[in-house]
Amino acid sequence: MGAQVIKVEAPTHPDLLRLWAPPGGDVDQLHERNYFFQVANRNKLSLSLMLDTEEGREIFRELVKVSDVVIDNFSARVMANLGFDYESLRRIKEDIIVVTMPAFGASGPYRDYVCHGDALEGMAGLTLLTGYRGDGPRRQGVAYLDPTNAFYATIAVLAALLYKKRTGRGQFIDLSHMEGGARCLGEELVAYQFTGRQPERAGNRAPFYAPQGCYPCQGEDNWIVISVRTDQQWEALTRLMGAEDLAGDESLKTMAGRQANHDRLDERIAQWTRRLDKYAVMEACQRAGIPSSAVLKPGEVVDNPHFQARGFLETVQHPVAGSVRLPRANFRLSKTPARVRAPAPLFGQHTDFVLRELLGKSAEEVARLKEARVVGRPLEFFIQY
Amino acid sequence: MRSLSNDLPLTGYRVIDIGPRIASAFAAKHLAELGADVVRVESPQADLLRLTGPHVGEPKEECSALHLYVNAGKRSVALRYDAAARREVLAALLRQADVIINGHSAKESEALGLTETSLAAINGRAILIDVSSFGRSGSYSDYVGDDIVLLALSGYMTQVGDPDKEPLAPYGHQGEYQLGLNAAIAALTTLFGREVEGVTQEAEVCGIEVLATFLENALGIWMSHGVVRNRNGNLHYTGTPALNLYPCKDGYVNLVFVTERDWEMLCVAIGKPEWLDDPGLSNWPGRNARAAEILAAVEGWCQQRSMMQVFHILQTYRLPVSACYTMGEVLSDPQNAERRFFFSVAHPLLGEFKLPRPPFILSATPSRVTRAPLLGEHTAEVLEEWAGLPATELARLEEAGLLKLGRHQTPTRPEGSQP
Repeated sequence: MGAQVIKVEAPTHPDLLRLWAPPGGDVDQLHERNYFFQVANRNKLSLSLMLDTEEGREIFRELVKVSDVVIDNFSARVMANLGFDYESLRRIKEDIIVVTMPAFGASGPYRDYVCHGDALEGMAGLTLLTGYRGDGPRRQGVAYLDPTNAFYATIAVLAALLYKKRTGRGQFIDLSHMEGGARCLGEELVAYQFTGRQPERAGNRAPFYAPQGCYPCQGEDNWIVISVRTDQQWEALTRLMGAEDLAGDESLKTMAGRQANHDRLDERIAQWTRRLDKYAVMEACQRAGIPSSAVLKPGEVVDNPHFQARGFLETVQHPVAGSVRLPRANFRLSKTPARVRAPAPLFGQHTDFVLRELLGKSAEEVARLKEARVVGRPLEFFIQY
Repeated sequence: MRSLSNDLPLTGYRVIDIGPRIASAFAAKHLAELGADVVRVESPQADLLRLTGPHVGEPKEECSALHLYVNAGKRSVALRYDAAARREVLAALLRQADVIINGHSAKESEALGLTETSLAAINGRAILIDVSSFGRSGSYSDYVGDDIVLLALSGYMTQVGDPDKEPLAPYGHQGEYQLGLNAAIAALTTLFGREVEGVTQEAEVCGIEVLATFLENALGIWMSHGVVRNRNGNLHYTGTPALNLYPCKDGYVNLVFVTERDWEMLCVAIGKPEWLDDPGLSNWPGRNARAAEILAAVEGWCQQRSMMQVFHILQTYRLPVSACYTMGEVLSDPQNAERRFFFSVAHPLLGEFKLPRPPFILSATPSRVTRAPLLGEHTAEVLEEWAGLPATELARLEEAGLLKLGRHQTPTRPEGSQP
């Protein structure tokens, strides 16, 4: 959205997204070009800074002085140990907005516990509820709570910026990923207080629509999702399927009746979809007003004409990776559209810029800090998966 | 105007939440929690949020848990505003809004005057947030569907479930909620832009694009290496033992060990110190090659202990692990209790129950957690305050079936505010 964001990186504690490699892939310079890192860090500047030296910490304090927001994703004790707790930062800049977001929040009995977005979904109740009917729980397969809580942190920062615009006051934001996860199931948390019943894993069904499911189509691992919300949509589906017996079946004319016969309907729908192309089924259903979609594989998202027509992926030139296509901002503004302005930074790429231009240091001083290995050191270790 | 605590980030802003859609209503919920005066304009016949369960009492339209959660903190105006009805009343409300969060389709929006151009003619300061599944442009823009349809078309579902079974949608309304979070961000960004730069504009938020950003490196490794990232049960797509779900005596834990330090701690914690000296396990390619052996050992260790024992023991080794909670366990967790994550609200028909506050504590501006409104509870109040409609006119409109004044009017009080 246009903010100047400086990613403060430690050569000895690298961002894991720089290092997490696809299996069998080329690992040369991976920490500079990793796509996972690109997605999360485009448009940022990178400063290589050692915070375990007093000189390094002083540079950080100078940065705070010229910043509006400080955001960290350390475990709860790190910033305080560095002397960067909110009160200390506030003494450097009175109206600073400080965000800390440890897995379980900055207070409470679990404050010093650690977690990642791909594990913590359990604590939110999401893991136990996701899964096939009559089978065990399933993890999300992606780090679901990472983007979720990144969104929540963005909401909190924008709210604090609006408040500061009106009152001149900054504040401290203490975000818990565990809580952000629980917000994803708020309706079930409310319901449980009245029913005392843990919901059952529902696979791809919905308690309020029927039939709803994911059905096989022609070809290898091709699937279609169909979700019938109204009696009219059901009638339309039976027409598409050419299933006169289902159309005429009185017991299926209501949602409750279709729920009761869901297994039988799933079988019939799968019989119908199995020999068809998934896009053809999607188009036929959509033309008939039935919510439906082909299940796209990642490569099919890249190649999909609708995504392409909307310019979902934007191309930037990266000094190591070459031409890279990255998802654009999650919303588009009519008058001030956001762009992918720059690729993700190389490690420490903007060390000189930040020290010279933003902090006003002389070339000699920067050279001395580099000599002292406080700034500008290269990344020091590498993990391969 | 209704008196609200005056030190919240969005105090004084008027927000209209319109459209029978979970995502747009979820976005508006966040603005209400941050202090905005959010008016949900809804059908007098009760819409999707009230009719979708789970229902926890009667009448259904007041007792949908989805409505009680997603519409919390708003005022309700029950108004017939479809094409056949008089739309001046809606226009009078739109004239007063700072932000309009719109969950209607493009076609409906056109007919209702919920477009940037139509709005500009009656309210030059209003920000319009368009919330849709497929976006307002492109060949799918007239398609229908939400939640599972978004999860399918964005590629998300291919990452969840077993490789030999159908792709799986996560439980609940994840597609709609993520779209809603991004609509809230769009609203706040645009509002901030209006306050700083004086720019009034429209934001378009598209569900499949939001969900596709959850794919991590999947798009990239396809484009650069032709690698298809696919669902792999409870394991990572790579098959590494670094991420998995493990059964314990009485539940499951979700455990991740990704750094060298994590690996060392794991070996010590589960009583496998010999692994530390095993040259075959000194790096990830070696560990990945022996994934079955590692997974079996960790599982064996977990199965002898309770879920909470495993959670606390592995956390003392600073390993990223979580317990797989039931809804009851989330509600009674001591961390959530100490952080006062749940707030009691009093509902006129259902009595007291708890709602989660936002997942952040703002030191200067605590969140406002209040109950969801009854259908039409604030129709008279808001139309009088915002549109200046006199009581006689309101009665006439109700008579004509164009609005519902609400039978259970109770003063909204700022219950449950954070101390």
